[in-house]
Amino acid sequence: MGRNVRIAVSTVVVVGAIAAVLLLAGGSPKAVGKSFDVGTYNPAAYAHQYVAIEGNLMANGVQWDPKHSELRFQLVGNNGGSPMTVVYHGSKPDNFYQGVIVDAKGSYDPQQNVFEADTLQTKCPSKYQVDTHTMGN
Amino acid sequence: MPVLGQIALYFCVGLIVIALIAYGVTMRSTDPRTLATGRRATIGIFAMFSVAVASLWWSILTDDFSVVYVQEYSARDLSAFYKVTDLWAGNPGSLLFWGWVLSGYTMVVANGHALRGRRMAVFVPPFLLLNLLFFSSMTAFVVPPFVTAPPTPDGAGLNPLLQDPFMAIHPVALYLGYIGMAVPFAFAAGALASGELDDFWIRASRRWALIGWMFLSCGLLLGAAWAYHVLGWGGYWGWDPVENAALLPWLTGTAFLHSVMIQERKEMLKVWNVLLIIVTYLLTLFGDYTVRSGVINSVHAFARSAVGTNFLIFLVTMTVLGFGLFFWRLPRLRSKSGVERYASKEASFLANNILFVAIAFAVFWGTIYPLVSKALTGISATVGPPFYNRATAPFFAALLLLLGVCPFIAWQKSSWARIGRRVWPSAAIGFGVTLVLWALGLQKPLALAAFGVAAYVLATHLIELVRGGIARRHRLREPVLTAFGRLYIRNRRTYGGYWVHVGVALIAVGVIGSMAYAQKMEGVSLQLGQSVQIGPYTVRYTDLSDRTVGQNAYEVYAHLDVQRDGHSVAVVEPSKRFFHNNPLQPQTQVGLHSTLSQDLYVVLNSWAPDGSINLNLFINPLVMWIWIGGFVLVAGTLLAAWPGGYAEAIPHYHEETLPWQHEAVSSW
Repeated sequence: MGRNVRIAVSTVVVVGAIAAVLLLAGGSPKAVGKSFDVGTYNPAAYAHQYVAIEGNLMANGVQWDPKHSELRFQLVGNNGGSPMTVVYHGSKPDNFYQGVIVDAKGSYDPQQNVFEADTLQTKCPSKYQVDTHTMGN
Repeated sequence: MPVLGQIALYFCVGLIVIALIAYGVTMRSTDPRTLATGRRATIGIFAMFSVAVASLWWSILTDDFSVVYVQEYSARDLSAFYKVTDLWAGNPGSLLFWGWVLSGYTMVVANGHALRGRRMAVFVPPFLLLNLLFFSSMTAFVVPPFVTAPPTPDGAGLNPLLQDPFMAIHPVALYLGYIGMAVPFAFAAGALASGELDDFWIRASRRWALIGWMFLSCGLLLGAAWAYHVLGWGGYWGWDPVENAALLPWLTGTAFLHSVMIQERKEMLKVWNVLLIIVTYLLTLFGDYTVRSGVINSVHAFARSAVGTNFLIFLVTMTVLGFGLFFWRLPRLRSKSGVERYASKEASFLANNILFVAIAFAVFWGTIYPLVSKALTGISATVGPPFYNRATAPFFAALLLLLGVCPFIAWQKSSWARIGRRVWPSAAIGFGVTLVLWALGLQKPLALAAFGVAAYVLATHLIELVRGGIARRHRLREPVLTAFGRLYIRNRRTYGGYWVHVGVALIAVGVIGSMAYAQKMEGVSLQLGQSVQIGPYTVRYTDLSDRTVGQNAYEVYAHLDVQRDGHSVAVVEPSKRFFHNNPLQPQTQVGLHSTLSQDLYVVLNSWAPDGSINLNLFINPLVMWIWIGGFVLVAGTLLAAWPGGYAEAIPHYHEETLPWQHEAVSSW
């Protein structure tokens, strides 16, 4: 086998292996899923589907039950729209105040009309490299 | 002082332009006077950047709240230590800091001995100067840190999450690494531009690449340590895009550090090496662009500013320049020889490179996939840790397997039978460790196999590290410490590399243990005097109190007595820390009882007026080994990079003629 042929075969094998691994790795919604701004999220269309939503935390809707570690809050889209109620069972992030941008991963429960999140991430919108909080699975 | 700083930045831009012109003229005329002008200008640039940095530090330390940057990131009651770190806490300051460090590197490269008498002396500094031109322009015109406004009585203060020792130095280490990678890139680009395409650029920039890589490693480890101690989610790595952005150049930089050895010794992989360092450098820019642009959704918070657009333009410019030079010189870069056998050091390094690049590609793909998805489908995507874990684990496992055999493979050609004879003792140790762990009750097959592989890598390298010293001691009849000391110092590239591999294997042990066998209990409510059991520990809640912390904070903490087998072994005090300037955003301080076998990790979620508290508790096995491995890795890199006698000896790793034998023969 000539050198060029060997290089070509090796390249195909390596690229194929990498592509196969990437395809297999992305095979679940928790690995690679859809992400929406709350303002454009149509919960009915994605009921019970694992997705990520992002929105601004509304000040008035935060309810924290430390006994049961239940955090209930409302997010509104970057350009407004209907708020979405999110329920999360876990710790309350340190920087959980109005205006913070929240990424929540989970699924919409049409019976309760809430987004059940299993992962929360928060970030401050105003400054460079200032806020980090990752929680959940 | 702000005026002085701003003027110094203008001088920086001017001097950089002068230096670029001087070098450009020298390329045509080879006039030593213009070359000297360029060199002297680099000293002036560093001096001016130093003045600007000193001015900003002065404003911060003297609470000059007429400077907007000081208003936004400092406060009167901030400790002096954190005031110093204010320099890189905000976008303008961190760009200034970046430029300052880069100007120092440029001055050393331009005026150092490495390039004296070489045609490349005219071609290398301009590539660093181009970087400097960008950073100085950013700080002078786009996001100047010296903007003033009517003074305020006090500042907003440093973000609470940044008021942590790990986070204070994490950006410095990361920047030193990022910027360090610009130097070998400049050498490669200078070699391409000048046409001096032998391995001089690799030898001259090897130490820069090593030190840059070491700082990148430190930056990654410090970031992980900060996340672990402060964020309170029980982990140290979340595959966030900003974390990934720092990991990417580390991965390709690691591949580069290995593949250059092949060029040094065999004149092979010239194309690959140039390509790797260009990509590594571009990934450092990509990392910085990701951090500052906010274009990729990250848990880190960034303002969308003009910096991002400018960074993108600069990134594209340097990509075109780098690859333009590469393709221009491509016909002259082709190696005359190739890998002759699969059982050879060259082939093993090539496999190592492919694996590192595969991991880098997987991480890069996951990081940019949300953008790709948005562009192609109109719907953004989210890529979570399961993707990265699955996409990288097979390649990391293959790398570990390779790591365990690499010291036994000879250059040019080896034989599988010989390799097998050398590798079986460490392979047997790895298999034995797997069996013992299984017998002890560990269940998960993949984790058991991974522990076995890590043990085999450790065994391989520890055997080599010990065997060389013992052999030298017997041959030369030296005292034990002398034999080992001289062996390691006189073959520091080889043995430094071995110690780095030991560090990697130790880190692997910590990662495997903490990923596979962690336990957690979330939302545990306790009344005063109550206990909770997790793993081997009984955690008893004995007190809730508060105390002042430093000048600008106080914390509410729970006093927890940790017992094991009925005996008190530790007291942990998880807390929430509140800062005067930012009371809405407390900082979590984890309560930690660390041992070599496991960490008890406790987070205080909340407390109630009746004295009850709510906790998250984790048992994270073997995490301590990540930090120990990090220290070993850094120490090994320092050993490999240390200058002086024997520093340039090219590693041999020959199965019949080990390094100590070369050295013993030469000094007999």
